[in-house]
Amino acid sequence: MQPEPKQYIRQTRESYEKLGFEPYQWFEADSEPAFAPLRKPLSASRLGMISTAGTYVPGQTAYYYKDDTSIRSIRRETPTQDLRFSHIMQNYLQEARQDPCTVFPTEALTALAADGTIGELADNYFSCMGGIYSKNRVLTELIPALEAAVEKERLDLLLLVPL
Amino acid sequence: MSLIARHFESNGLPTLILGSALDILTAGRPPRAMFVNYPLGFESGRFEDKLDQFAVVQQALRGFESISKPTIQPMDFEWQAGWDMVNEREKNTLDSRSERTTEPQYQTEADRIAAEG
Repeated sequence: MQPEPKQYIRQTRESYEKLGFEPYQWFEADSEPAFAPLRKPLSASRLGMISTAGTYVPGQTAYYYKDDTSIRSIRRETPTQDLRFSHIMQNYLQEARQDPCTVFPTEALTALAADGTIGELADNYFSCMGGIYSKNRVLTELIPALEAAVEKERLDLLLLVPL
Repeated sequence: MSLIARHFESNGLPTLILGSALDILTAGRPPRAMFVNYPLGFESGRFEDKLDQFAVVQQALRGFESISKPTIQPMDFEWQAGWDMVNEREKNTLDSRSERTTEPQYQTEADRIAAEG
């Protein structure tokens, strides 16, 4: 196996330093997170998903790479071959563009709902483009848009799959 | 993603991150996370391997019920061939970002036509 987890923050900091770029800032929390207890077991819960891989479907506008804070709604029944990606780190998506389920696990979720592991699935999943440089814009633009979209799905649980 | 998780959790909605960058997860202190030690781009399993994808997501979702306080839980999946493939591809790359523009970046030209005419 990869002996130790890869150090993405250190690697990126070092390479940007060599290139003379400003360092990219990942979010660093300075407090414990809230922790919401489950109201029901997974097998009785309605589950939704957000992907930050820049997922879209044909007919929708793709994401752009400079601080795009918009979101897309992806119908649960969307055929896997109709899932597309536009993300600033698209080098990580070479295989996902052949098999989208490596970052957008719609087929596994459908199978886990069919076998009863998950109570039911949302009608729509959501995506955004993860490489946003401004924490303030994540807080004031992206998160409110996701919040409004997720609220309509009446979820009990939310799965988050970052790129 | 941790910022998003923390927000929804503070609204009372339980969240779980399925992620493959342990250092980024650790910095963000999410409520519940499952760590799969696969390269970025394979958070929900190996490509063209539906059994592996099912197993990764199935095991990850157990975290909703097994985690009872803020935790990043490592999972026991290994994929040396995937790391070899990615390490070979990246060995001469310093900056792998695409250019930061405000033009939509379609995966295919047909997608651009479908969206913009």
